[in-house]
This record gives sequence, C-alpha cells and structure tokens, in this order.
Amino acid sequence: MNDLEQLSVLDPARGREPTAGEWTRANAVVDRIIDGRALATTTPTRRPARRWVIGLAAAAAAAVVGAVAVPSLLPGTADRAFAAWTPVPGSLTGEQVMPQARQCAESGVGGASGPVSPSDVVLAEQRGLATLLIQKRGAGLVECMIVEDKSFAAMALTEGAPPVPAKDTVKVETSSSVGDGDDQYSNVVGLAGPSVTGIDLLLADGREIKTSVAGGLWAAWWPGPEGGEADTIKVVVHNSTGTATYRIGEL
Amino acid sequence: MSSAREESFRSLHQQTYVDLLRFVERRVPPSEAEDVVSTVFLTAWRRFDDLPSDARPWLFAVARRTMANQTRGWLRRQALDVRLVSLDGPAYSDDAVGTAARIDLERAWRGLRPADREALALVAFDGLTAEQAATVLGCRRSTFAMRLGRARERLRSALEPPAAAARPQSLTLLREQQS
Repeated sequence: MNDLEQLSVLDPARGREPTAGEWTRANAVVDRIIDGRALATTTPTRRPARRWVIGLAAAAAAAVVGAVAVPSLLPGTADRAFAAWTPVPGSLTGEQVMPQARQCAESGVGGASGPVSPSDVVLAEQRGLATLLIQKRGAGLVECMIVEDKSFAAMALTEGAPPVPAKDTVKVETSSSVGDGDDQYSNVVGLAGPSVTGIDLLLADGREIKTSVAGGLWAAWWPGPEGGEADTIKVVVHNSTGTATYRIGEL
Repeated sequence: MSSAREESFRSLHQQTYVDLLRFVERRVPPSEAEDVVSTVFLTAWRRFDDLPSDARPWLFAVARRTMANQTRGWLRRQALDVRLVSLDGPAYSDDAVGTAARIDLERAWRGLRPADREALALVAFDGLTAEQAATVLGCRRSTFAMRLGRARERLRSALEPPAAAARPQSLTLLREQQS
C-alpha cells in the first residue's frame, strides 16, 4: 500500500452514498434547472445557519431557507439589472411593493404560507430594475430580489424576530456573493440600532454604496464579488452625533 | 434538439452526482454540500455546450470556485482545505491501516500546508489523475505533478520518526513549508 492509498483512510467521504431523499432532491433540482425555474445560489459569508440555499433544493425540501438567483439562467435579466443598478437606492413603502411582496411570499422561502400585507414589508428599496425586499414571513424574515416582475433571489434571514443592537451600533447578519464571473453580485444585510441614521459601504475599488435602513435592518446589493470576499468592505455608520467607519469583519 | 440536450444533461447528472457530492463534502460541511452541488449543475446546464468530454474535473473545478466564493474563511487560505473523517468515524475500525498508524497519518496530514493537502486529496480522495487534478486547479499537468511530488515528500517526511525528521534535509523541507 503506497502513501496515497494509505491516505484514503482519512477520506471524510469514503463510501459515502446519497440517500434516497438526496437523490430525490437532486433529481428535482435537475427538473427545475431544465424547466428554467432554477436558481443559482450561494452561501453567505456570515452566519451559515442563514445561508442562501438553492431555490431548487428549497422547493424540494420545503422548509429550508431558500435562495434563488437566476442570473445564470436569465442572463439578459441579470445584464439589465446590473446595467441599471444605482449606488443610491430609492425607498419604497409596503403598499408600493405589494406585487413584489406577493411574489416573494410565493417563492416558498421561509416555509410559511398565507397572504402578505403591506405591514409585513420591513424594508423595500429600488436600484434600477431591481426591487429588494425584506418582509415578515411566519415568525421570521425573508429577503427577496425581484427584477422586472421576476423573482430573482430569495433567502430566509431569520426564523424569529431579530435582536435589536445597541442604539448606535450595527451588525452584519449576512454578506455573500452570488453567481459566477460577470453574473456575480453581492448582498449584505445587517441590523441597525435605533440611533443609526444611515449606513454606507466603501468597496476596495472606491465604489460607495448607500444602503437602505428601515425597521432596524439595513441592506444593499451590487454587481460584483466583494460580498463574498474576505473583509474588503468598509462600513460607514452615520448617527446623530457623527460617523464611524468599520471593517465589515468587525461587525 | 432540446430534448437530446436535456437527456444528455440528465445522463451527466446521473453519472457525476455522487462523485461531485463526495468532492464537495470533503471540503465543506455536509449541510452546505447539497447547495454547492446544485449550483454546479446549474452552471453546467448554462454552459452545457462548453463541457469537455471528461466533464468530471470540469464540474469539480466549478465546485471549487463555488465553494471559494462562498465562505470568507475559506478565502483566507490559498487552497481549499480538505476535511478529515472524524476521529470516531467508522474508518477507524474497518480499514487496513492500524489505529496507531492512522493517528500518525492524521497528525502528519494536519501538519501539511493546505496546498499540499489539496494536491494529495485530489488524487488520494477524489481519485483523479494528474491531468484531471490539473484541470480542477486550473494549472498545467506538469505543475500539478510537481506540487503532488512535493506534497508526497512532505507527507513522508512528516511520517518519519522524530530522530530522522531532525536531519538537515528535513529541516530544509520544514523551512520551505513555512516560507
């Protein structure tokens, strides 16, 4: 037995065979990919418990948090969303985004069912063609991105009410990048204390992004991979007494 | 036309799903693996016309990039590290390598650089040829062969008894490892 053969005893996947349930989910994923309902996804760089999950897998395994991103299947949509993206978001009310909120609810992410109302929408913003929503679903929160009336991405954020950070502080709940190559985009969601009046992101390439802050949450998305990179983003927090800048890894 | 493409894709999935799942589970916690695998097949469908005839290394390469994109901690490393079977796992009792030897092997493995572990795992765990492993890492076959050779040398050195490991040659290797 040579050294490489010996090593096989350390293999964590030695003899690993998928279960019947895993095969069922995997085949369901293939069906959805072929049907064009598939969604690319990623895991956030923070809080694995709230990871992005494949929308296709989520549909097969109902209660899981799910993310659905279709840039790879609908490159035209992704291209248009990226081209129209703006560093400063427009703020939207729950009433204004009810069609998108319903789509978000229908994504199945979060595992809850039932109608959605304007008061369920905690945060809603517009950047070009894309509407980003964070809304209550069941006891928790879900995040969705809708582009041109199509569900682009969805992710369960929390299973219950999120904690409220101290008055001037912010926290990062999830930071991730989704997709591959030119289709890649980033998403950050965090918690904001009641005294926080605004949060901006500074990327290593000099881009400055104004996030949306509402209901104790803050969020932004942008074209590019930085959300999945190691600590390359600076977070500028504004409150009534001034401004503080943090590395995202500190939050 | 499209149904032939679908059929080929389903066939590819049936042929490679298990290997891809294992490849991913060797590198990320099982709870994350299914999502990564799904993302890889989504990418494969989108780029189906570009797939080489030997698709498995191509899929592994996409999986590797997907995993690297996804976790900040992994990005701090130059290589995508490989997990080990847990100490109390079944492999402890049913393999041809004795428990003591296995403990030595594991200690030696942990002492290697992640890049060495990656090269070794692609061959010893994932069962790839040097050509296929080079595809996964995006390097030339000769480059991978050199990496693998050095990794094997360091593994052997790490498995040597302490007295032998103190020889000048081993010290040189150690310095190289730390550089």
